[in-house]
Amino acid sequence: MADQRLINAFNDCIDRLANGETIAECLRRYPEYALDLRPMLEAGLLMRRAQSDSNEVLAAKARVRANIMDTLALTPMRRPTPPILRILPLVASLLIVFVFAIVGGSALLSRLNQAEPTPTTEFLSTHTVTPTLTATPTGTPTVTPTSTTTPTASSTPSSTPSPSSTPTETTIALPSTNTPRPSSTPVPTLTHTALPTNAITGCTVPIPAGWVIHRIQAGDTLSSLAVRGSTTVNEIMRVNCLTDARLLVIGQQVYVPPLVPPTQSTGGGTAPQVGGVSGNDNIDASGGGGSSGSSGGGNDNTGSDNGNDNADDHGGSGGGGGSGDDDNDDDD
Amino acid sequence: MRIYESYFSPIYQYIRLRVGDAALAEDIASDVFVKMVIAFKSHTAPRQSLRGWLFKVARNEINVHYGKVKQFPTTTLEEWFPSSDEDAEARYLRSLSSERTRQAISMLAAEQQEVLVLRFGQALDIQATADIMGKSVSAIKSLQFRAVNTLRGILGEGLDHG
Repeated sequence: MADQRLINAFNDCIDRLANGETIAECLRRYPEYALDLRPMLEAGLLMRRAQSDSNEVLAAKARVRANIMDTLALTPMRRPTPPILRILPLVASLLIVFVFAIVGGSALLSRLNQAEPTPTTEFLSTHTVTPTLTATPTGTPTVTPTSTTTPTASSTPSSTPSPSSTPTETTIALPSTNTPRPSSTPVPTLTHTALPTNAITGCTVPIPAGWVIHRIQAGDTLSSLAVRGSTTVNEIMRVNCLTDARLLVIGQQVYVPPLVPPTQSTGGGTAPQVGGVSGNDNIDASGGGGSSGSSGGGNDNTGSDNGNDNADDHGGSGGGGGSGDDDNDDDD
Repeated sequence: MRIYESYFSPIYQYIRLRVGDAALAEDIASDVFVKMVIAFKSHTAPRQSLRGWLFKVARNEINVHYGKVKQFPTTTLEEWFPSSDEDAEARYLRSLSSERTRQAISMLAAEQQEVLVLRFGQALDIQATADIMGKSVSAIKSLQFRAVNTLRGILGEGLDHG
Protein backbone atom coordinates (compact mmCIF):
# COMPACT_ATOMS: atom_id res chain seq x y z
CA MET A 1 0.00 0.00 0.00
CA ALA A 2 1.49 3.23 -1.11
CA ASP A 3 2.00 6.07 1.27
CA GLN A 4 -1.14 8.16 1.27
CA ARG A 5 0.92 11.32 1.60
CA LEU A 6 2.85 10.36 -1.51
CA ILE A 7 -0.41 9.79 -3.35
CA ASN A 8 -1.60 13.22 -2.27
CA ALA A 9 1.69 14.86 -3.16
CA PHE A 10 1.55 13.28 -6.59
CA ASN A 11 -1.98 14.51 -7.10
CA ASP A 12 -1.01 17.99 -5.98
CA CYS A 13 1.91 18.08 -8.39
CA ILE A 14 -0.29 17.02 -11.30
CA ASP A 15 -2.46 20.04 -10.62
CA ARG A 16 0.56 22.30 -10.32
CA LEU A 17 2.00 21.06 -13.58
CA ALA A 18 -1.33 21.72 -15.22
CA ASN A 19 -1.11 25.27 -13.93
CA GLY A 20 2.34 25.84 -15.38
CA GLU A 21 4.67 24.84 -12.59
CA THR A 22 7.71 22.76 -13.51
CA ILE A 23 8.57 19.37 -12.08
CA ALA A 24 11.54 20.85 -10.24
CA GLU A 25 9.38 23.49 -8.58
CA CYS A 26 6.95 20.93 -7.33
CA LEU A 27 9.68 18.62 -6.10
CA ARG A 28 10.99 21.43 -3.92
CA ARG A 29 7.62 21.42 -2.17
CA TYR A 30 7.95 17.75 -1.36
CA PRO A 31 11.66 17.16 -0.85
CA GLU A 32 10.99 13.98 1.13
CA TYR A 33 9.25 12.44 -1.88
CA ALA A 34 11.37 13.95 -4.61
CA LEU A 35 13.02 10.67 -5.56
CA ASP A 36 9.68 8.94 -6.00
CA LEU A 37 7.84 11.82 -7.54
CA ARG A 38 10.30 12.73 -10.27
CA PRO A 39 9.99 9.62 -12.47
CA MET A 40 6.26 9.51 -11.91
CA LEU A 41 5.80 13.06 -13.06
CA GLU A 42 8.17 12.54 -15.98
CA ALA A 43 6.13 9.56 -17.06
CA GLY A 44 2.95 11.52 -16.66
CA LEU A 45 4.23 14.34 -18.78
CA LEU A 46 4.86 11.83 -21.53
CA MET A 47 1.12 11.82 -21.96
CA ARG A 48 1.18 15.47 -22.82
CA ARG A 49 4.06 15.12 -25.20
CA ALA A 50 2.46 12.12 -26.80
CA GLN A 51 -0.47 14.20 -27.91
CA SER A 52 -0.84 14.79 -31.59
CA ASP A 53 0.64 17.95 -33.03
CA SER A 54 -1.58 20.78 -34.06
CA ASN A 55 -1.25 20.02 -37.79
CA GLU A 56 -2.74 16.61 -37.30
CA VAL A 57 -5.49 18.03 -35.13
CA LEU A 58 -6.37 20.75 -37.63
CA ALA A 59 -6.52 18.29 -40.50
CA ALA A 60 -8.61 15.95 -38.43
CA LYS A 61 -10.92 18.79 -37.42
CA ALA A 62 -11.69 19.61 -41.06
CA ARG A 63 -12.27 16.01 -42.03
CA VAL A 64 -14.42 15.28 -39.03
CA ARG A 65 -16.52 18.37 -39.67
CA ALA A 66 -17.22 17.22 -43.22
CA ASN A 67 -17.99 13.80 -41.87
CA ILE A 68 -20.46 15.22 -39.37
CA MET A 69 -22.21 17.23 -42.06
CA ASP A 70 -22.59 14.14 -44.20
CA THR A 71 -23.94 12.15 -41.32
CA LEU A 72 -26.40 14.81 -40.28
CA ALA A 73 -27.57 15.21 -43.86
CA LEU A 74 -28.48 11.54 -43.89
CA THR A 75 -30.00 11.28 -40.46
CA PRO A 76 -32.62 14.02 -40.45
CA MET A 77 -35.12 11.58 -41.91
CA ARG A 78 -35.83 10.24 -38.48
CA ARG A 79 -35.90 13.65 -36.88
CA PRO A 80 -38.81 15.39 -38.51
CA THR A 81 -41.47 13.00 -37.28
CA PRO A 82 -41.37 13.73 -33.58
CA PRO A 83 -42.21 17.43 -33.78
CA ILE A 84 -45.17 16.70 -36.02
CA LEU A 85 -46.32 13.96 -33.73
CA ARG A 86 -46.00 16.31 -30.86
CA ILE A 87 -48.10 18.98 -32.53
CA LEU A 88 -50.71 16.65 -33.96
CA PRO A 89 -52.84 16.21 -30.87
CA LEU A 90 -52.84 19.94 -30.31
CA VAL A 91 -53.94 20.61 -33.87
CA ALA A 92 -56.58 17.95 -33.65
CA SER A 93 -58.01 19.30 -30.42
CA LEU A 94 -57.97 22.82 -31.79
CA LEU A 95 -59.82 21.59 -34.83
CA ILE A 96 -62.43 19.92 -32.71
CA VAL A 97 -62.89 23.03 -30.62
CA PHE A 98 -63.11 25.10 -33.75
CA VAL A 99 -65.72 22.87 -35.30
CA PHE A 100 -67.75 22.97 -32.15
CA ALA A 101 -67.48 26.68 -31.92
CA ILE A 102 -68.81 27.05 -35.43
CA VAL A 103 -71.55 24.53 -34.98
CA GLY A 104 -72.47 25.87 -31.60
CA GLY A 105 -72.53 29.37 -32.97
CA SER A 106 -74.75 28.43 -35.85
CA ALA A 107 -77.04 26.60 -33.51
CA LEU A 108 -77.26 29.69 -31.37
CA LEU A 109 -77.99 31.86 -34.35
CA SER A 110 -80.65 29.58 -35.63
CA ARG A 111 -82.24 29.61 -32.25
CA LEU A 112 -82.25 33.30 -32.04
CA ASN A 113 -83.82 33.54 -35.42
CA GLN A 114 -86.44 30.96 -34.80
CA ALA A 115 -88.67 30.64 -31.85
CA GLU A 116 -88.20 26.92 -31.75
CA PRO A 117 -85.03 24.89 -31.62
CA THR A 118 -85.62 22.93 -34.81
CA PRO A 119 -83.26 20.50 -36.43
CA THR A 120 -80.03 22.41 -36.21
CA THR A 121 -79.15 21.03 -32.85
CA GLU A 122 -79.85 17.49 -33.68
CA PHE A 123 -76.37 16.67 -34.75
CA LEU A 124 -75.37 17.01 -31.15
CA SER A 125 -77.57 14.41 -29.74
CA THR A 126 -80.65 12.40 -30.25
CA HIS A 127 -82.42 13.91 -27.30
CA THR A 128 -82.73 17.29 -28.78
CA VAL A 129 -85.82 16.54 -30.74
CA THR A 130 -88.07 18.18 -28.19
CA PRO A 131 -89.33 21.32 -29.85
CA THR A 132 -92.59 20.66 -28.11
CA LEU A 133 -91.30 22.43 -25.09
CA THR A 134 -92.76 25.69 -26.14
CA ALA A 135 -96.24 24.42 -25.65
CA THR A 136 -96.14 23.99 -21.91
CA PRO A 137 -94.97 27.31 -20.63
CA THR A 138 -97.36 30.07 -20.10
CA GLY A 139 -97.17 31.15 -23.66
CA THR A 140 -94.60 33.86 -23.42
CA PRO A 141 -92.21 32.53 -25.99
CA THR A 142 -91.11 35.50 -27.95
CA VAL A 143 -90.57 37.91 -25.14
CA THR A 144 -87.27 36.87 -23.80
CA PRO A 145 -84.53 36.64 -26.36
CA THR A 146 -83.00 39.98 -25.54
CA SER A 147 -82.16 39.04 -22.04
CA THR A 148 -80.82 35.66 -22.84
CA THR A 149 -77.61 36.68 -24.43
CA THR A 150 -76.07 38.37 -21.46
CA PRO A 151 -75.63 35.81 -18.73
CA THR A 152 -73.17 33.02 -18.83
CA ALA A 153 -75.25 30.94 -16.58
CA SER A 154 -76.37 27.77 -18.19
CA SER A 155 -78.21 26.46 -15.26
CA THR A 156 -80.97 24.23 -16.38
CA PRO A 157 -83.27 23.64 -13.49
CA SER A 158 -85.21 26.80 -14.05
CA SER A 159 -87.27 25.28 -16.77
CA THR A 160 -88.03 22.18 -14.82
CA PRO A 161 -91.71 22.74 -14.54
CA SER A 162 -93.34 19.95 -16.45
CA PRO A 163 -92.16 18.40 -19.72
CA SER A 164 -89.94 21.24 -20.73
CA SER A 165 -87.12 19.80 -18.67
CA THR A 166 -85.91 17.35 -21.24
CA PRO A 167 -84.98 19.77 -23.94
CA THR A 168 -82.87 21.93 -21.75
CA GLU A 169 -80.37 19.32 -20.76
CA THR A 170 -79.65 18.00 -24.14
CA THR A 171 -79.69 20.97 -26.36
CA ILE A 172 -76.96 22.64 -24.43
CA ALA A 173 -74.30 23.49 -26.88
CA LEU A 174 -72.40 25.98 -24.85
CA PRO A 175 -74.10 29.34 -24.99
CA SER A 176 -76.95 28.19 -27.12
CA THR A 177 -78.53 26.51 -24.17
CA ASN A 178 -79.85 29.65 -22.69
CA THR A 179 -82.03 30.57 -25.54
CA PRO A 180 -84.72 27.98 -25.48
CA ARG A 181 -85.34 28.00 -21.81
CA PRO A 182 -86.21 31.57 -21.18
CA SER A 183 -89.06 31.21 -23.56
CA SER A 184 -90.92 29.44 -20.86
CA THR A 185 -90.28 32.11 -18.27
CA PRO A 186 -89.66 35.62 -19.34
CA VAL A 187 -88.22 36.98 -16.16
CA PRO A 188 -85.60 34.60 -14.98
CA THR A 189 -82.50 35.33 -16.92
CA LEU A 190 -82.13 38.80 -15.66
CA THR A 191 -81.53 37.54 -12.20
CA HIS A 192 -78.25 36.04 -13.19
CA THR A 193 -76.70 39.35 -13.94
CA ALA A 194 -77.36 40.86 -10.59
CA LEU A 195 -75.61 38.46 -8.30
CA PRO A 196 -71.88 38.32 -8.73
CA THR A 197 -70.37 40.91 -6.40
CA ASN A 198 -71.91 44.30 -6.30
CA ALA A 199 -72.54 45.40 -9.84
CA ILE A 200 -74.49 48.41 -8.68
CA THR A 201 -71.94 50.25 -6.64
CA GLY A 202 -68.78 48.63 -7.87
CA CYS A 203 -68.19 47.56 -4.31
CA THR A 204 -66.05 44.45 -4.22
CA VAL A 205 -67.22 43.08 -0.91
CA PRO A 206 -68.69 39.63 -1.56
CA ILE A 207 -72.41 39.57 -1.17
CA PRO A 208 -73.63 37.09 1.45
CA ALA A 209 -75.68 34.21 0.19
CA GLY A 210 -79.34 34.99 -0.01
CA TRP A 211 -78.98 38.74 -0.02
CA VAL A 212 -81.05 40.56 -2.56
CA ILE A 213 -81.28 43.96 -4.13
CA HIS A 214 -83.61 46.37 -2.48
CA ARG A 215 -84.60 49.72 -3.88
CA ILE A 216 -84.69 52.37 -1.22
CA GLN A 217 -88.11 53.86 -0.76
CA ALA A 218 -89.42 56.78 1.18
CA GLY A 219 -89.30 55.91 4.82
CA ASP A 220 -86.55 53.32 4.48
CA THR A 221 -83.61 53.65 6.80
CA LEU A 222 -80.69 51.40 7.24
CA SER A 223 -81.82 50.56 10.71
CA SER A 224 -85.31 49.66 9.54
CA LEU A 225 -83.87 47.53 6.80
CA ALA A 226 -81.56 45.90 9.30
CA VAL A 227 -84.46 45.06 11.55
CA ARG A 228 -86.53 43.70 8.67
CA GLY A 229 -83.59 41.69 7.43
CA SER A 230 -82.50 40.48 10.84
CA THR A 231 -79.07 41.93 10.41
CA THR A 232 -77.19 45.01 11.54
CA VAL A 233 -76.75 48.41 10.04
CA ASN A 234 -73.02 47.90 9.98
CA GLU A 235 -73.34 44.71 8.05
CA ILE A 236 -75.50 46.33 5.39
CA MET A 237 -73.06 49.21 5.19
CA ARG A 238 -70.14 46.86 4.93
CA VAL A 239 -71.63 44.73 2.16
CA ASN A 240 -72.64 47.77 0.16
CA CYS A 241 -69.50 49.74 0.90
CA LEU A 242 -71.57 52.48 2.41
CA THR A 243 -69.68 55.06 4.38
CA ASP A 244 -72.50 57.16 5.69
CA ALA A 245 -75.87 55.83 6.74
CA ARG A 246 -77.48 59.20 6.05
CA LEU A 247 -76.57 59.24 2.41
CA LEU A 248 -79.33 56.88 1.34
CA VAL A 249 -81.32 58.19 -1.60
CA ILE A 250 -84.76 57.12 -2.63
CA GLY A 251 -84.47 54.78 -5.57
CA GLN A 252 -80.96 53.73 -4.59
CA GLN A 253 -80.36 50.01 -4.77
CA VAL A 254 -78.68 48.21 -1.93
CA TYR A 255 -78.10 44.60 -1.04
CA VAL A 256 -80.00 43.40 1.98
CA PRO A 257 -81.00 40.09 3.50
CA PRO A 258 -84.46 38.82 2.61
CA LEU A 259 -86.73 41.39 4.19
CA VAL A 260 -89.78 40.88 6.28
CA PRO A 261 -92.51 43.04 4.77
CA PRO A 262 -92.68 46.36 6.49
CA THR A 263 -95.67 46.82 8.61
CA GLN A 264 -96.77 50.03 7.03
CA SER A 265 -96.11 49.68 3.30
CA THR A 266 -97.02 46.03 2.49
CA GLY A 267 -97.03 44.43 -0.92
CA GLY A 268 -98.96 47.19 -2.60
CA GLY A 269 -96.12 49.57 -2.19
CA THR A 270 -93.44 47.34 -3.49
CA ALA A 271 -95.21 45.88 -6.44
CA PRO A 272 -95.13 48.88 -8.73
CA GLN A 273 -91.44 49.30 -8.29
CA VAL A 274 -90.95 45.70 -9.01
CA GLY A 275 -92.54 46.21 -12.33
CA GLY A 276 -90.20 49.04 -13.09
CA VAL A 277 -86.98 47.29 -12.29
CA SER A 278 -87.12 43.72 -13.30
CA GLY A 279 -83.92 42.79 -11.55
CA ASN A 280 -85.29 44.00 -8.30
CA ASP A 281 -88.40 42.10 -8.85
CA ASN A 282 -86.76 38.77 -9.26
CA ILE A 283 -84.48 39.05 -6.38
CA ASP A 284 -87.19 40.09 -4.05
CA ALA A 285 -89.16 37.15 -5.21
CA SER A 286 -86.37 34.75 -4.59
CA GLY A 287 -85.67 36.17 -1.20
CA GLY A 288 -88.97 36.04 0.52
CA GLY A 289 -91.55 35.92 -2.17
CA GLY A 290 -93.87 37.99 -0.10
CA SER A 291 -93.33 41.43 -1.52
CA SER A 292 -93.72 40.50 -5.14
CA GLY A 293 -96.98 38.84 -4.71
CA SER A 294 -98.60 41.18 -7.15
CA SER A 295 -97.11 39.50 -10.13
CA GLY A 296 -99.23 36.46 -9.70
CA GLY A 297 -98.95 32.88 -8.65
CA GLY A 298 -97.35 31.60 -11.82
CA ASN A 299 -94.72 34.21 -11.65
CA ASP A 300 -94.01 33.40 -8.11
CA ASN A 301 -93.08 29.93 -9.00
CA THR A 302 -90.75 30.86 -11.73
CA GLY A 303 -89.25 33.52 -9.59
CA SER A 304 -88.38 31.18 -6.83
CA ASP A 305 -86.98 28.72 -9.29
CA ASN A 306 -84.68 31.29 -10.58
CA GLY A 307 -83.66 32.13 -7.14
CA ASN A 308 -82.50 28.60 -6.77
CA ASP A 309 -80.69 28.87 -10.01
CA ASN A 310 -78.71 31.74 -8.86
CA ALA A 311 -77.83 30.10 -5.65
CA ASP A 312 -76.49 27.20 -7.58
CA ASP A 313 -74.35 29.36 -9.73
CA HIS A 314 -72.81 31.08 -6.81
CA GLY A 315 -72.19 27.96 -4.92
CA GLY A 316 -70.13 26.76 -7.82
CA SER A 317 -72.14 23.59 -8.16
CA GLY A 318 -73.66 24.75 -11.42
CA GLY A 319 -75.62 21.56 -11.58
CA GLY A 320 -77.64 22.39 -14.65
CA GLY A 321 -74.89 23.78 -16.80
CA GLY A 322 -72.42 21.15 -15.83
CA SER A 323 -74.64 18.26 -16.56
CA GLY A 324 -75.63 19.78 -19.84
CA ASP A 325 -72.04 19.98 -20.98
CA ASP A 326 -71.44 16.47 -19.94
CA ASP A 327 -74.27 15.33 -22.05
CA ASN A 328 -72.79 16.95 -25.05
CA ASP A 329 -69.45 15.38 -24.50
CA ASP A 330 -70.97 12.00 -24.19
CA ASP A 331 -72.84 12.43 -27.38
CA ASP A 332 -69.67 13.24 -29.17
CA MET B 1 -20.09 25.38 -34.56
CA ARG B 2 -18.28 27.50 -32.04
CA ILE B 3 -18.66 24.62 -29.65
CA TYR B 4 -17.12 22.34 -32.18
CA GLU B 5 -14.17 24.68 -32.61
CA SER B 6 -13.52 24.84 -28.90
CA TYR B 7 -14.00 21.24 -28.02
CA PHE B 8 -12.74 19.36 -31.00
CA SER B 9 -9.09 19.45 -30.03
CA PRO B 10 -9.36 18.10 -26.48
CA ILE B 11 -11.88 15.48 -27.46
CA TYR B 12 -9.88 14.37 -30.43
CA GLN B 13 -6.64 14.25 -28.46
CA TYR B 14 -8.33 12.21 -25.79
CA ILE B 15 -9.64 9.72 -28.32
CA ARG B 16 -6.45 9.72 -30.29
CA LEU B 17 -4.33 8.85 -27.27
CA ARG B 18 -6.63 6.06 -26.34
CA VAL B 19 -7.24 4.39 -29.68
CA GLY B 20 -3.80 4.88 -31.18
CA ASP B 21 -5.08 5.08 -34.75
CA ALA B 22 -5.70 8.49 -36.32
CA ALA B 23 -8.39 7.37 -38.77
CA LEU B 24 -10.29 5.52 -36.07
CA ALA B 25 -9.95 8.51 -33.78
CA GLU B 26 -11.56 10.68 -36.44
CA ASP B 27 -14.45 8.27 -36.86
CA ILE B 28 -15.10 8.17 -33.16
CA ALA B 29 -14.81 11.96 -32.88
CA SER B 30 -17.40 12.26 -35.65
CA ASP B 31 -19.77 10.04 -33.76
CA VAL B 32 -19.30 12.10 -30.62
CA PHE B 33 -20.11 15.41 -32.27
CA VAL B 34 -23.02 14.03 -34.25
CA LYS B 35 -24.46 12.87 -30.97
CA MET B 36 -23.90 16.33 -29.60
CA VAL B 37 -25.79 17.97 -32.46
CA ILE B 38 -28.66 15.54 -32.08
CA ALA B 39 -28.71 16.13 -28.36
CA PHE B 40 -28.98 19.86 -28.94
CA LYS B 41 -31.80 19.41 -31.41
CA SER B 42 -33.73 17.23 -29.05
CA HIS B 43 -32.93 19.45 -26.08
CA THR B 44 -31.25 16.66 -24.18
CA ALA B 45 -27.80 18.20 -24.18
CA PRO B 46 -26.57 19.27 -20.78
CA ARG B 47 -26.79 22.95 -19.95
CA GLN B 48 -23.75 22.74 -17.75
CA SER B 49 -20.49 20.94 -18.12
CA LEU B 50 -20.77 20.28 -21.82
CA ARG B 51 -17.07 19.48 -21.80
CA GLY B 52 -17.53 16.69 -19.28
CA TRP B 53 -20.51 15.41 -21.21
CA LEU B 54 -18.47 15.26 -24.42
CA PHE B 55 -15.71 13.36 -22.70
CA LYS B 56 -18.25 10.93 -21.36
CA VAL B 57 -19.74 10.38 -24.78
CA ALA B 58 -16.27 9.94 -26.26
CA ARG B 59 -15.40 7.48 -23.56
CA ASN B 60 -18.55 5.53 -24.25
CA GLU B 61 -17.93 5.53 -27.99
CA ILE B 62 -14.43 4.21 -27.46
CA ASN B 63 -15.78 1.47 -25.26
CA VAL B 64 -18.47 0.65 -27.78
CA HIS B 65 -15.84 0.39 -30.47
CA TYR B 66 -13.63 -1.87 -28.46
CA GLY B 67 -16.66 -3.78 -27.31
CA LYS B 68 -17.18 -4.66 -30.95
CA VAL B 69 -13.55 -5.59 -31.33
CA LYS B 70 -13.81 -7.54 -28.08
CA GLN B 71 -10.63 -6.20 -26.55
CA PHE B 72 -8.28 -3.30 -26.55
CA PRO B 73 -5.36 -3.71 -28.87
CA THR B 74 -2.28 -4.98 -27.18
CA THR B 75 1.16 -4.20 -28.34
CA THR B 76 4.01 -6.53 -27.68
CA LEU B 77 6.96 -5.13 -25.87
CA GLU B 78 9.34 -6.13 -28.61
CA GLU B 79 7.68 -3.79 -31.04
CA TRP B 80 8.79 -0.71 -29.25
CA PHE B 81 11.84 -1.58 -27.14
CA PRO B 82 14.43 1.10 -27.43
CA SER B 83 17.73 -0.14 -28.73
CA SER B 84 19.99 2.29 -26.96
CA ASP B 85 20.82 1.96 -23.30
CA GLU B 86 20.13 4.91 -20.98
CA ASP B 87 21.43 5.35 -17.52
CA ALA B 88 18.86 7.55 -15.88
CA GLU B 89 15.19 6.73 -16.03
CA ALA B 90 14.15 10.32 -16.33
CA ARG B 91 16.46 11.03 -19.23
CA TYR B 92 15.31 7.86 -20.85
CA LEU B 93 11.68 8.80 -20.46
CA ARG B 94 12.32 12.22 -21.91
CA SER B 95 13.95 10.66 -24.91
CA LEU B 96 10.97 8.52 -25.80
CA SER B 97 9.15 9.43 -28.96
CA SER B 98 5.46 10.15 -28.96
CA GLU B 99 4.86 6.99 -30.89
CA ARG B 100 6.61 4.88 -28.32
CA THR B 101 4.71 6.54 -25.52
CA ARG B 102 1.41 5.89 -27.26
CA GLN B 103 2.28 2.29 -27.61
CA ALA B 104 3.05 2.11 -23.91
CA ILE B 105 -0.19 3.85 -23.09
CA SER B 106 -2.10 1.39 -25.19
CA MET B 107 -0.81 -1.38 -22.99
CA LEU B 108 -2.42 0.08 -19.90
CA ALA B 109 -5.83 -0.96 -18.70
CA ALA B 110 -8.56 1.25 -20.13
CA GLU B 111 -9.18 3.12 -16.88
CA GLN B 112 -5.51 3.74 -16.36
CA GLN B 113 -5.14 5.09 -19.86
CA GLU B 114 -8.10 7.28 -19.33
CA VAL B 115 -7.08 8.82 -16.05
CA LEU B 116 -3.64 9.68 -17.35
CA VAL B 117 -4.98 11.16 -20.57
CA LEU B 118 -7.48 13.28 -18.70
CA ARG B 119 -5.19 14.37 -15.88
CA PHE B 120 -1.92 14.86 -17.76
CA GLY B 121 -2.96 15.07 -21.38
CA GLN B 122 -6.04 17.26 -20.96
CA ALA B 123 -5.03 18.80 -17.63
CA LEU B 124 -8.51 18.33 -16.21
CA ASP B 125 -8.79 18.80 -12.47
CA ILE B 126 -9.47 15.81 -10.33
CA GLN B 127 -13.12 16.59 -9.73
CA ALA B 128 -13.87 16.86 -13.44
CA THR B 129 -12.00 13.64 -14.06
CA ALA B 130 -13.96 11.93 -11.31
CA ASP B 131 -17.22 13.16 -12.81
CA ILE B 132 -16.38 11.95 -16.28
CA MET B 133 -15.22 8.56 -15.11
CA GLY B 134 -17.99 8.15 -12.59
CA LYS B 135 -15.66 7.64 -9.67
CA SER B 136 -14.91 9.36 -6.40
CA VAL B 137 -12.05 11.81 -6.08
CA SER B 138 -10.14 9.50 -3.79
CA ALA B 139 -10.57 6.63 -6.23
CA ILE B 140 -9.13 8.82 -8.96
CA LYS B 141 -6.15 9.70 -6.76
CA SER B 142 -5.35 6.06 -6.26
CA LEU B 143 -6.04 5.19 -9.87
CA GLN B 144 -3.75 7.86 -11.29
CA PHE B 145 -1.02 6.82 -8.86
CA ARG B 146 -1.22 3.19 -9.92
CA ALA B 147 -1.55 4.10 -13.58
CA VAL B 148 1.58 6.18 -13.73
CA ASN B 149 3.56 3.53 -11.92
CA THR B 150 2.27 0.87 -14.27
CA LEU B 151 3.33 3.04 -17.17
CA ARG B 152 6.72 3.48 -15.62
CA GLY B 153 6.94 -0.24 -15.23
CA ILE B 154 6.23 -0.78 -18.91
CA LEU B 155 8.68 1.88 -19.95
CA GLY B 156 11.21 0.76 -17.33
CA GLU B 157 11.22 -2.72 -18.79
CA GLY B 158 12.56 -1.13 -21.89
CA LEU B 159 15.25 0.48 -19.80
CA ASP B 160 16.10 -2.75 -18.06
CA HIS B 161 16.19 -4.70 -21.27
CA GLY B 162 18.24 -2.13 -23.05
